Amino acid sequence: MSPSLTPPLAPTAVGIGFKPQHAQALLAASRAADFLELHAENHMAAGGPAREELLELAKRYPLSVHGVGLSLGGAERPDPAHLARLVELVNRLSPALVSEHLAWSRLDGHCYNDLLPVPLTEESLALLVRNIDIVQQALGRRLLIENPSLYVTIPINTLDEADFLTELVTRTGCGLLLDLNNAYISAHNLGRDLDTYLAALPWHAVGEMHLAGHSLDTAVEPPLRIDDHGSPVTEAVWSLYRRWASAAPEAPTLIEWDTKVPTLERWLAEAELARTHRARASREPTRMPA
Amino acid sequence: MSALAEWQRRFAAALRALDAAPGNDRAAELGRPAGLDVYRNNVRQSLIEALASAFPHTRTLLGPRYFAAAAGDFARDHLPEEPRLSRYGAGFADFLDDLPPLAGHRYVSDVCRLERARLDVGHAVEASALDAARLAEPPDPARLCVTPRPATRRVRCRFAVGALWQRLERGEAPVESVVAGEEDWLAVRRGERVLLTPVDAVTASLYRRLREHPGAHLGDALAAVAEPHGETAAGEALGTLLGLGALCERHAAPSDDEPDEETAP
Repeated sequence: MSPSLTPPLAPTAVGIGFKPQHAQALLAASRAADFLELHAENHMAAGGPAREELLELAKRYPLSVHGVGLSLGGAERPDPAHLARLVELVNRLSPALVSEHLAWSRLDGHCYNDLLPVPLTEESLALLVRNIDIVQQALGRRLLIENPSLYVTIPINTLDEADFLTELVTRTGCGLLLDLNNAYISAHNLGRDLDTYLAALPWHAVGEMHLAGHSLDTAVEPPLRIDDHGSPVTEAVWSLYRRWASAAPEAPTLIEWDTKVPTLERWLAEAELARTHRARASREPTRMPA
Repeated sequence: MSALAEWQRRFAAALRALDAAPGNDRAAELGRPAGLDVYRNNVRQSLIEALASAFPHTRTLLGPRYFAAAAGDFARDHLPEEPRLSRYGAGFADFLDDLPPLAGHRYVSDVCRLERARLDVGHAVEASALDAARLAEPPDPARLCVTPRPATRRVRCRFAVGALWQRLERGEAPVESVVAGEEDWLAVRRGERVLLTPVDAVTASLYRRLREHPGAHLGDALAAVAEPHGETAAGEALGTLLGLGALCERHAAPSDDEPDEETAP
């Protein structure tokens, strides 16, 4: 493994996603954001100027490597070639955090380029445990698993999502990347009681929180909330953050923004807003899990 | 087959269907159709956007609406084989070649191939370019094992797209007068930039010879090219490739998992 490049990450840090159009401004500033999160699959090139640029960023900012393509919730084992590329990236950058999703995207040699829903069954749980074990052993470190934003209730589910995540944490030692925007979207789209869901999560394992904007598709009845990461964090999600952030006092927070990407200044202002909300949260009664 | 794999196959089949989930007696096990539409749209739209990002000049030539329709058709039948979207679309130029409405505009595929080469070269592994001065050093330079740098590609175009390419690069409106005529181009990464340069047939022949015969001696490659073209032309071709920074010594070339050349059928 290469020597550690990345500066340490403070527990209450607030980071932003990394986009290539912001690279020069981020390099010019001393520490514009507390940390940067990058999508692993966008940085697996064998060479080129973007690779060198990322190494420079890694010297100045704590990094979080967020994978979207391992298909951990698939029936197949993780693709060895793709896992090798992830290991190379993680060894090269020494990020503070590495995360993936409770989702699948690969089957029979095809990649579907989305985070597809995993049926919550004992079989899925066993296969996810196997796949997370494979990845954690290859990386030699703990992986954080992100709760999904969902648009369908899968009729063959036999387990509750919070229980499913708790079992994953228990059986693999992985952490939880709690995306409050995803939790809000899924609760709306699936008719789930949000506070009951949040109270049942394994908060001790939460190693990072995600916040993002979403949209509302009113063309369907009932309307669906869409996780498009294309706008500021909604007041409803800020409210969740204020009520629940203190339950994970050691977890850094990331503001995601992947479509209609704003200026770096606007994004950093959203991160500053998160700091303000978190400070307010620390002064208010915490909705700790039962 | 596991129950999970069986369910995921049916879910995947529903995503690849043109619209709503297939109406069979087990369709309800996949969830609410409106929700399924969100996943289907996410997959399709993200692939269209990946192609638009990879092929901006092709999109300019086709227009945004036709490009989106063609990219959507391509995406439905050509899902990615791996999650790195920067690799997606390797066969898009061939796909455009087969579209009947583009029968009179086949130069678009050439532009598409040039864009693909630029993208691949931009991500390829680095290797130091062979300096011409190295050929003056002992031992005999003819015994050097020379190969194209990984960050290079040859593209065979069927149309003289040079002027069109320059207009597109400058952001100017494309012109329709593109004449047939085979041209070889080399894409070479130098520093942070990828340069696309038309090269003569002898230079393309030497490049191709070196690429197809890894481990062969430079002298043998030059002799093979000199046989039909003459020693002077072969020597000039070597000078062109060295000047472009397109070559490296074989032992200095790391392995690369990039696709090979972008050559029209």
